[in-house]
Amino acid sequence: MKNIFQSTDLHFTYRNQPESGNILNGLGEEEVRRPRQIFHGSGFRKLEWEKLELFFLMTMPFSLFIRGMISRLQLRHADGKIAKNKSEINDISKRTQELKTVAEEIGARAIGISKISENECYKDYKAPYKYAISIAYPMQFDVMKEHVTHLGGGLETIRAYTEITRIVVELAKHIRTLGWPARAYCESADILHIPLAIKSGIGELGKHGSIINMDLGSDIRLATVLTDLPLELDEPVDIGVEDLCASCRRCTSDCPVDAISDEKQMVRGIEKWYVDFDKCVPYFSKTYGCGICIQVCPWSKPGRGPSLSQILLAKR
Amino acid sequence: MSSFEDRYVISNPSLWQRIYRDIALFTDSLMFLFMWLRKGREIRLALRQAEKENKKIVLEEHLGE
Repeated sequence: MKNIFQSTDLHFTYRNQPESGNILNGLGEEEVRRPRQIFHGSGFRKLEWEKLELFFLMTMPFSLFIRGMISRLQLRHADGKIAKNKSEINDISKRTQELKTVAEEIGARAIGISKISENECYKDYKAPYKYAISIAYPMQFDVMKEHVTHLGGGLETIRAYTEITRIVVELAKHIRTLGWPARAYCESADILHIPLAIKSGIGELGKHGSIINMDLGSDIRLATVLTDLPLELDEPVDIGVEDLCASCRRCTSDCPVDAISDEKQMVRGIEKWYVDFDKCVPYFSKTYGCGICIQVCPWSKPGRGPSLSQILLAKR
Repeated sequence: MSSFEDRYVISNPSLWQRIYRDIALFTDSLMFLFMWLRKGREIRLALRQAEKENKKIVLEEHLGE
């Protein structure tokens, strides 16, 4: 069955619309600065677009709301007891490989390591540890294809979040048993998962504002573990995303609210792909988290990524 | 106002810190669930009515100014 996206008719509105999310996000700003949360927060903060987020949460069916809460509860174990005996690091490369193997055994499908800087943290947040382990976990393509913008799509999204939360919580716990501090971050955290994942070679930024991984496409969820355990860093990758996004119009034409631009834009001093917040987020709030753009992306079709990348890179 | 991390994530916690954290988190979660049941029901009903009548609900009327 081919999915029919929900209509763009919105039956809710602000009396006094908050300041444009695009302005708050720094669209058009030439100077580099850190972003701050304006819609999804991590709990109990006053945000400019908080009422819309509350509306999003309050209008969810119980099946979705309760799963989201359970997923969140896991994060109380994001940090914890550190084993007293710190394991010695003789071979950083070997230790990094062992840790990646553990992450894969727990369920991670793509892993990358980078050093976190203040630009990968929201304003006023200081990362407690130096190294960032970025993790990606895929959503089920067939489920999203059939249910995106409907309840089934929301349920699949929250399933992926619950699973990736479990993975990062377990990975952080594993590192702490080695005697090193580690903290797991998932969903709307105080750090920026996408820039970290790009820096660590998980993938490249796509036109739809989400990351694209060569094997998993863009129908994925990200989470991060921060630690002081010394690790070998990964490098950013070039899999040809820029080449494809420059000419592909799939996400721009399928987005029912025209939130995706064909041109890169200046955002907080960096020219990059940007999704119009004011157009995207109200529809996102109506449709259980939407997800059309990452679902229709050519990279998301299972098994297609590696050959697509090969063709794009060969054309240069 | 503080983030989820500030409130519930503790590095190297003692047993008492963990117990206190768990009680606080479960209490806050129950309050949030109660909000979904009470306030959420009001909003969901208003939204359904607005959809039927092709009108719009005003967020501030349900969620405060």
